[in-house]
Formats: sequence, C-alpha cells, structure tokens
Amino acid sequence: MSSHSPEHRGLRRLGAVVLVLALAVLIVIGVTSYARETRDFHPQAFAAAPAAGPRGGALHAGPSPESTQVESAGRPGEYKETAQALYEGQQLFQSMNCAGCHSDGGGGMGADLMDARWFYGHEPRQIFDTIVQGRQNGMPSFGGRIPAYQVWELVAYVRSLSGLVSPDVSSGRNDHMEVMPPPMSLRMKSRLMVKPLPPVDSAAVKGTTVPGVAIHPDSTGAKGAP
Amino acid sequence: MPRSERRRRRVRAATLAALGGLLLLSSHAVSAATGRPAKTHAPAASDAQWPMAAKNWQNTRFSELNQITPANAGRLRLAWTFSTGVKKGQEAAPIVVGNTMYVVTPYPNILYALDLTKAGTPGVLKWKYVPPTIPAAQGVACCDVVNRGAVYADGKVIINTLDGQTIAVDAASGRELWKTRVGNIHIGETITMSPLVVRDKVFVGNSGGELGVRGWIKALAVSNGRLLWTAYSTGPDSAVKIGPRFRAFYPSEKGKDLGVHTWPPGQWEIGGGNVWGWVSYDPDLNLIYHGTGNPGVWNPDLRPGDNKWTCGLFARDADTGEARWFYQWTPHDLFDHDGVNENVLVDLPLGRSVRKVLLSAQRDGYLYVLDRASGQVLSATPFVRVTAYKGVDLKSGRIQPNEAKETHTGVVVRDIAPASPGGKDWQPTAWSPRTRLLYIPHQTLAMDYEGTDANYIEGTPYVGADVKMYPDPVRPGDGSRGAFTAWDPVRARPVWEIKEPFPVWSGTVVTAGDVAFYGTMDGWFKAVDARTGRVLWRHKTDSGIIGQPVTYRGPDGKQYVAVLAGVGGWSGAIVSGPIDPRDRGAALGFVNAMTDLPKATPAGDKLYVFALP
Repeated sequence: MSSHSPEHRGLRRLGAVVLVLALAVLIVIGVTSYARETRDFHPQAFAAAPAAGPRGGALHAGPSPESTQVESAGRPGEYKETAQALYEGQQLFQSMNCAGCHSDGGGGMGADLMDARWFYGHEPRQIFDTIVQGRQNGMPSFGGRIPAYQVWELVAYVRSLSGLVSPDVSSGRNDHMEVMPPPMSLRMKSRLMVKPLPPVDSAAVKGTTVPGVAIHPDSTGAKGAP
Repeated sequence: MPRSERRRRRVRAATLAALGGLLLLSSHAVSAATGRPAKTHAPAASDAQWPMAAKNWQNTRFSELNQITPANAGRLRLAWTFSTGVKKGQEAAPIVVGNTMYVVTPYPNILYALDLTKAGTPGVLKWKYVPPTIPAAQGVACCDVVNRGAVYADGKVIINTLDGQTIAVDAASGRELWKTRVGNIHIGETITMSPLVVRDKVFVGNSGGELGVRGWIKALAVSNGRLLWTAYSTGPDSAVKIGPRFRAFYPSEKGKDLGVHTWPPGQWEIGGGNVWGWVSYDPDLNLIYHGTGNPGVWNPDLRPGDNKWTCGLFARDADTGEARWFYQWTPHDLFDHDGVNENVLVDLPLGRSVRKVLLSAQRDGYLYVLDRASGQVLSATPFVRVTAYKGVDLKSGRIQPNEAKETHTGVVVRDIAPASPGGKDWQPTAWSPRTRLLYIPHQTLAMDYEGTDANYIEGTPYVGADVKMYPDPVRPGDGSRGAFTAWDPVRARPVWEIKEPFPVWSGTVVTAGDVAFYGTMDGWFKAVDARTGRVLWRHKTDSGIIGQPVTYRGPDGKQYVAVLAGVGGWSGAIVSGPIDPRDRGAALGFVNAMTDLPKATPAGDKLYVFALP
C-alpha cells in the first residue's frame, strides 16, 4: 500500500492530535472528578483535657465513677474508614497500651477483638462508647485521655481486626516482629453473633444523663471532670 | 435461735476447740525438712490436715500419709467431685482442716466450705461465702483471674481477692469477720497469691508487674485485719524496710537507697518487684522468705541499672518486716524472669556439715541452693536448657547474662531459653525428706523477643515487648513443652524426668508412701513413683489441670488426694480467655506455643478427690 496521498497523511496527523487531546481531557476529568479523601492533620490538640486541669488520679478501671454525673457531650467528630485512620489507629493502639491487654487483636487481659463476638456491640458508635466510658468487666475509661478524632481512628482500626473494614484500606504489612497476619489479610471469621442495635431514639433519652464521660470537641467546651 | 440449735452449736464449738487442741498437740510432730523433732512454733497441723496452700511454713508439700504406695496406687479411684461454677484457671490448693475442706475459686473468688463427712452427697456444701468485689479487677489481671488458695488460722479462713482485699471468714459458719482493702485496681494492682499466716500475722503481697505496679508485702493482724506494716520492693531504704539489721552477703546489694539509685529518676515508683508468689517461714531464725517480681516495664532499655530490689529474694524479720538480707537472682532483668518462686526450707548435708538451706527453682532456669541464714549462694545449676545466661558467678553472686541474647528496643532476639515464664513459673515444687529429692513441675520453652516503646498509663499494661514462645528447639525432637523432674540438690543433677506435651503448670505433692502427684494441661492427673519416676496411675479429668494437688486423711481414716481441674492461667489463657490463635503474640506471647491446647481441653471448674477403694 504505497499509494498514500499527502491529504491522507494530513488527515491521519489531525486524527492523532484529536485523539491525544481527547485522552488528555479524559484524564483531567477523571482525576479532578475522583473524590479524594480529605485528610485532617491533627485537627485538634489534646482537646479532651478537662477544664479543671489535668487529671491527677488514676485512670479508672471500668466505668468512670463520675460517669453518672457528667452529661454526655455526644460523639463529636466523624468516623472514617480510610487508610490514614486505620494507620493512625494502629499506632494509637500501641501507644495508648490497648495492645497490652488486647495483644495485636487476639486478646489476653482484654477481650479478643478478632472474633465475631462483641460484648458491647460492633457499631462504630458502640466501640467509641466502650473506649470512652469503659466497661464494667475491666475495660478502663479513656474519656478525657484521647481526643475524639483519635478515638474514631481507634474504632476504625479495632473494626479492621475482625474484617469489618475493607481490606483496601488496611495495611499489607506489620511494623514489628511478625506475630500477626498482616492487617490486610484479616477477614471476618464468621457471621456476627450480635445483631446491630436499633438506632437510639434521641427524643427518648433527651433530658436524662447518659452514662459515660464527655469527650469534648475543644477545650472551651469542656465541662465537668472526666 | 431454738434452744436445741444453740446447744448443738455449743457442742460444735467445743468439738472444734478440742480439735484445735489436738492439732496443737500434734504440732510437735516432726519437722518435714530435718527428720528431727521441730522446736516451738511448728505449724499447727498434723499430717491429716492441709491448712495452707504450701502444706507447711517450709513449703515442702510433703505429707506423712503413707496409705497410698507405689504398690497400690494403680487401684486409686475417683471418690467424689465438686463443681465450683467458675470456669477460669483453677490454680488454688484446696485446704483441709478438721472435717472441712475450703476451696476458693478464681474471680469472683467464691469460698466454699465442704463437709468431708458428707463428701459426695448433696449435703457436702457446708457454707459458701461470696466476697463483694469490683468486676473491673478482671481487666487488670495480667494472666487470667486466678487465685492460689486460702489459709486457715485461729478459726478463720483467710483469702485474698483479685480486686485487692484480704478477707477473714469464720471457718465454722462462713460469716465474714473482717476485710481489709490492701490493693487499688485503678493503678493495676491485683492479688492472686495465697496468704501465709505466722502466729498473729498474715502476709499478703500484690500482683501487677505487667502494669507498672510497685511491689509490696504487707502484714495484717489475723485478729482484726489491721495493717501492721508494709515493705516495698523499690524506693528508699525506709520504704523497703532496710535498716541497721540488713546484712546482704554480696557487695552489689550493699549501699544506701539502692531501690532509688539503681533506676532512672522516678522509675522505681512504677518499678514492679511484686510479691505475687510464695512466702515461707523459718521458725528458728524467725525469718520469712519471699521473692520479688519483674521490674516495671519489660523492655530493659527503658530502665538502665540493677533495678533493686526486683527479681530477688528477701529474708525479713517475721515480726517487724525488717529486711535481714537480699539476693538478686537477675539484676536488670532482660526477659521477665520474675523471682517469686517458692523457697523450700530444708536442712541438707553439704560437704561435711548439714546446712540450713533453701531450694529455689527459679524462672531464670537455675536451681539455687542458698544458705538461708546468710543469703550465700551455695550452688546454682540449670535445670532446663539455658541460653539467656552463662552461669552464676559464686564469688560475686551475680548471674552472667549472655550478650548474644540481650534484649533491646527494635531488635528481634531469637532462641532465648528459658522463655518469659521461665524454667519454672509459679507452680510449686515439693520436697521429700525420704528421697531427698525436689519434685519440679515445669516448662521447657524458648522465645523470640523484640523490645518496643512503652508508655506508662496507670491501670494499663506497661510491657514494651513483643514475644513469641515455642517449644525449646533443642529438646531432642519430641516437641515437649514441659516436664516433671526429680532433682537431687546435693549432687546438683536430675534423677529422673517425665516429659509432657504441654507445660506442667500444676503444683505437686509427695508423700511418705513415696508417691508424687501432678496434673497436666491436657487433663491427666498422675501418680508416680517418687524414687523411679514410673507412672503408677492416671485419671483423665474434664479439663486441664493447673491446680495444686493436696492429700489429707478423711473422717473415715482413709488417705485422699484432691486437685482442682480447670485450665487457664497464663499458659492456658488461650482456653479460658478466649483468645484468637491467629495472634501469636497474644497473652504476652504464650499463645504461639499453645495453639493446640483448645483441641486438647475445654475450660473447667471441678474439684476431683481420689482414694483407694
């Protein structure tokens, strides 16, 4: 086929240019329209410090004794299942000594977090409350110790241990001596044994005190002792 | 109360008083250790009884009962059982006084009194005492919610509760007489040890070495529970009760306030050294002996120094609590090798003389023979494979760590033997003055260890280590993880050994019939010939055995052997937990060595009592 005319060649060149342009436009649209996760870098300082100054006494084993006197400030902040939340949650799990009781998830002094059994519920808000308020059989109340956003990060990591979070956002490797399968490979072991609780009717609890310690979104909002 | 009932009670009281008198009379019996008549202050118990977990002040766990022998042990039969209803690790010794047996359960620490004249019938339960406790204690107990047994004294049964109370209950009625709160769970303090009574004092120590709890031993008045004194394991000399009467044998234990200066500033306040093991007592020297646990935070990089007075042994005046001498098994502990194992007081022919010694099979894997008057180490011989240390220098008294196995932050060190639970953990040994052998239930494990960062948050674990344990790789090909070993302390060598697939986490008892008893984590209760190690008889129980067997003479004059079966504890947490075996580092790394235990045994809660037909 050696009979290509110059017009032919011109047309081909034009076609190529159009194709490249179209691809470029597609890429730009693709990139800009992809919903990137927004990352907050340390949105608050240690905001949950109580107004009355730093807590002098011991961390409280089980539910806090003040829990009935303090009105819950709800659960400020937002639960996210992102790689960042999981990674930071994993770091916090070590640094807040969660791992001391729960090991790398398999349990020990504290409950097994890898199985399908949840004594106090597996919903993010339930785990949030467990961390903040403590539970009577031994989980200490970390209320006033960890800012809400970090509690949510812990919640995401804790959920990932039993495969409740997509492996896409879980880490593919461990940072230390291999004692656990990589987080990414963790799957739900069996069907959850506890059905999700129905949503709380906020009207019904309005005006009552909610057991638990307030976690405050900022220090100015702090009221009462944790 | 009707008159007849009142009269019956009066009669019962008189009977009890008479029995008590008999006990006192029989207390001139024979010192188990020496074979010569004991002088004053011998424990008030005949060999029909088992009034404290360790049987006697010397902690020999030797009974003069001799009906069961190697010739007839094969005919042992199950006599009766009793279910305690608490399916956690059963580490307690049932104690027996008069015609009553007292059993304390793991948390919630229920105390049962069982009428031995009605054993095996529905009327066996005489009374039950449920102490008021705080459930959150379960969340600060490092290694299952165990309890190692009650003690009887002066008409009272005294127990410790996991949430940090010492409680005295009337032995006849089960009525609470006094309770004293000695521990604070909000800083991670629990109590699992069995209290020891010497005359008018009861000695109690705390647990919490994995939570940065400062160790102590306290003396309370048996009469009313009043706190008489506290001696700490760290801090200034005044708090440790080190004064002018303190004479350590070795130079490294001498100096002012070593409990402060052998630590980074302030670290001693969270420095561990918990007194969670056994206390023994020498009435002639009037000394109590107790070990101290691991230093606060496992990761040794975070606490340079000798970390006095952790991982060592105190001899204290039994009245005042003053320290008389101290010996540190492992200065600057690198592996969680607590020093709280029992010290068995015996008189031993060494060289040309008979020495007053104590025998101690320690976590670090050495069988120590110490002069119990001076604290001098007479010999220290490995009774398991040891890679962590190179030996004990008898001149300086110091153990020599193996540099190649030193643990540090961010470094994975492999094949450390013995592993964290040591050559032997809490599970107590027994001494027979007839065979002159020490019977050692123990484990044979090695581990990988990586030091990690650790934050101190009160009431939470303060460990800073990732650990993975496994069967000692050099044990020739059998994959065994434990053994029951008969040890000759004079010749410093084993005489015989029975290998077991799982760690032998139960206690043991040896009798004048030359039969020793122990249990296995897969649920076998065994009688063995104390001289040869031949297994004479075994019985399969419902659950793995980690309890302390005892023997007593029943109301019918027969010899009985009793043990609690119910797996758990640190080694059995994978069953009593429950724990996910995919996390090999769970239960402080013990899970990696125990993943097959759930197949071998379920959790259990049952007391088993055996006798000849």
